[in-house]
Amino acid sequence: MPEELWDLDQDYGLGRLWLAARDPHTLHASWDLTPGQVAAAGERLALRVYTGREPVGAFREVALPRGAHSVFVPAEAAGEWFVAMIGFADPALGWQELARSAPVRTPALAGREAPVEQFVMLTLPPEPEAPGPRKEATTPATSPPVPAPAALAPEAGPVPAAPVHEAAPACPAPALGEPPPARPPAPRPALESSRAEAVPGVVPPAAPAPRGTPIAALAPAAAITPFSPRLQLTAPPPWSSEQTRALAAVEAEWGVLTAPSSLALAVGEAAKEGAGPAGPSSPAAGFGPGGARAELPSSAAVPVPLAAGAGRRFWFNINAELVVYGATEPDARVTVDGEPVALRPDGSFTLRFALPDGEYALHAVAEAADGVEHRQARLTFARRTHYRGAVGRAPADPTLTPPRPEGPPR
Amino acid sequence: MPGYFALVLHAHLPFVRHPEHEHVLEESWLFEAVLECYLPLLELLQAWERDRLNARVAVSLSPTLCAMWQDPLLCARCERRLNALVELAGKEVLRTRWEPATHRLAEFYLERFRHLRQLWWDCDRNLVGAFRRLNATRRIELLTCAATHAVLPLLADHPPSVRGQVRTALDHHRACFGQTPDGFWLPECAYEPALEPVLTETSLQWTVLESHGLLHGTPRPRYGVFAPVFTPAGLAVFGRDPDSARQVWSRQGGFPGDPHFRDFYRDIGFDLEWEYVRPYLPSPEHRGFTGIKYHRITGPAGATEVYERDAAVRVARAQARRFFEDRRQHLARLEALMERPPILVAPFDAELFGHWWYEGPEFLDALVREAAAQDHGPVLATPGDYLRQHRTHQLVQPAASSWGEEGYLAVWLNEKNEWIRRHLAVARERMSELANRWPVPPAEREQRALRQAARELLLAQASDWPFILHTGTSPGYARRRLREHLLRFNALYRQLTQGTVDEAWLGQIEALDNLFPQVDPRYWA
Repeated sequence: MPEELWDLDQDYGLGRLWLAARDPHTLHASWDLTPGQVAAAGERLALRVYTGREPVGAFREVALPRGAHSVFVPAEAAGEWFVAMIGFADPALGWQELARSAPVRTPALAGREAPVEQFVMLTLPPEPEAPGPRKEATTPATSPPVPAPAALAPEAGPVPAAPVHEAAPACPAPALGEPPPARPPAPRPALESSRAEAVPGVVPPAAPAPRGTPIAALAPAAAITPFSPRLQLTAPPPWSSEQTRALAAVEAEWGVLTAPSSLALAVGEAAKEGAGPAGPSSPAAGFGPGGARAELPSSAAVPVPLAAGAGRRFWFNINAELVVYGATEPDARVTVDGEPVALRPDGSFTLRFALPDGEYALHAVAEAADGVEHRQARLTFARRTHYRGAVGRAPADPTLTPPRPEGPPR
Repeated sequence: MPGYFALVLHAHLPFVRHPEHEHVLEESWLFEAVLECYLPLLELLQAWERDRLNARVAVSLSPTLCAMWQDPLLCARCERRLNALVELAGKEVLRTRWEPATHRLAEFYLERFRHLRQLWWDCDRNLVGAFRRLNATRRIELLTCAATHAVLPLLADHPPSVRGQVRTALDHHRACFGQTPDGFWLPECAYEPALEPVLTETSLQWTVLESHGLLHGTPRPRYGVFAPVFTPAGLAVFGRDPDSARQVWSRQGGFPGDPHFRDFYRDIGFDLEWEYVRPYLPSPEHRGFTGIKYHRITGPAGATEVYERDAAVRVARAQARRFFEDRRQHLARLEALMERPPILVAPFDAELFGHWWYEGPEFLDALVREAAAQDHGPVLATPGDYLRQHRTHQLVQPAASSWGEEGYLAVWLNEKNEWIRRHLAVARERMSELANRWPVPPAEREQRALRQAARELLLAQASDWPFILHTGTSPGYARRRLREHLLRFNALYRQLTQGTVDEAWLGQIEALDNLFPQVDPRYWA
């Protein structure tokens, strides 16, 4: 954790585990345990990730170092449900669950084919919003538990751990663990009680059950049901297999993603080669100094210059400007080459001119407020620059990258 | 029917407001964007209205951006910035008199800044009011997004958090624009099916997803991304047209990278002598962008040649014609295949146009005028317009997706920023605990503390902080903001649960984080 965040609570003592599906192939788990749970687990803290909505069957186990708060874990498959438990294996009592996550689903890389295409019409007017907050649907999950796979695929690679802590050692192979101890569904405790200290060695209640039923819980069926009462089923418009093929050909010609794997390929290639659409994102990162070069559309063509000192040991930029200054009566009128000059309240003025190589002249006139008296000056200047070696004109800031030298090469 | 083309512009900046300091570097994000993006966009919209063009564009304005547009302190500082730029450009006109090409550009900047300042004055320094009027007269269709631009799928396992973001945004939108939007911009186009119960319990009707959100849906949509679908929850979902995105964003040959265009990085704030530019820098202690830039992209060797404004505008207009012609041809081919009018939806960050891509407003202008000039060509319409015309669509469950790198959540949840998640998870559950403890508004002091807790949580949930930590552009500032909001939230939680609300301190943080004055803590119940 960055130093300036040390005054945030390191542990809240809640006994909770949160799981997120970052992408089709990666899960992120973070947790916050009570001191009693931490003490009970000791050095044996581990995360078990199950495929499915319930923690049954085969699982992937990741050993967790003491003090860790999070870990990235490879997901076995896209479009699948996962649930995790944090706990430890007690030599006498077996697996001791400390907290359980809500199930999450990794993004699908391809839609399931449906033999029946459903078309619906928006029939109902928008529902008026009720005043005040509305509760989300509280229908419990109705999908039957997905049977655990007989075996999980071999782990794709090491588990990237949270940066703050030592890398969590990855499980070398998916372990087939014993099923979790049978236990009644945990009632949802009040947060206040869930924050209570657990007695060391005693497993506290599991995490509160997730609220609401994600629409993603739709079973892969031939038809999508149920759907919103806003929608009314209608007959699908006519559509032929020839049209399907023709549209697919058009999509292929235009580079529209058509295969489940094409996205991953495109992304990987884009990352490697810098090709493909750059993802726009938070504009904030690009405003002000040090804008997000990598996110810029223009950065596609603008070469990212080397930082000063990177790739070259020494550099030199020099330029010249002309500063003309003077003073007169505060109410006088001053012109330079016929252009009026703004005077400060004390009658002084300063003018600055870029001074490229060449010869120049300025004609300055001061006229008294009553117009009776005049003073004039003609100033002439010349600049001649001889470069030896790679010398540029800008930038003036040594922390910035010098542009291409304008002098002759060394 | 030749089909529809929908331009969706999403404008967002994080809430950055520091009354405790006179000059804050990060506040210049807003000032730069007002000058380079929002005022030029307003100028375009007003010109299209003046010229009676059929130029329906969907514009998403994030609640944090609107809150800053309405803030008197930030407006005053923005005007100070505008005045400073007019002054600096005037000095540049004089300074460059012996460099003719640069001198012409300095004159251009002086005229441009004066014009934009006049536009600022003409709308009474009230950009919310200006966009409200354009929305009321149906020149644009406004939509909103999450209150502080949270990446909603990362909150999906806690529906009250999604509801807090969505409902607060809708409330704020109604307060700003006097109307409930039909469309909702999902921050970062980040979608997850579990969001839908909260989205559809409101009157929201449509949103836009990245292409693969539709194409990986179940079943794969019959018409690909060329027609919307209805989700089972009843939300209409449009897919981003990949080719429209590619022409602009491609790192190889994307429009904004044309060598004639103004170089973003070469700015006199970095090029010129320190004492001269220092009074005009966003922060007086650091080099930075002034907005006056004299070089064009030029080529692989770097920005060495002087920018030629007229030539750059000609290129932008030619690109717009090419872009529109490509859309026209695509729609013509699709129209022959489909039994319904196809639609191509092209969403972009509004800040692309004018800031990153200085000639972007000219591109937009030419694009819209090209579309308007076509009697029998594609119709420029918003997704909402299309939905009102065509109400029967396929039923599809879209897939989780985003428009960030790699198409999912890796930008906002990776090794550099994942430490945020635990703190946010605890805070949101504590917020729900507070909301459940006071289902009816408590005494005024506690109500103020509850509202402030909601504000601090919302601000900590902004997508901008993990994004900045990911890109490494201003990580110190992002960490500082996260720390401040989380610490303030945790302190408020403790004070509320212990019955010891510190009213003086509460007043101080209310003055600092003052957005969403009527935020309703009950959304987190």
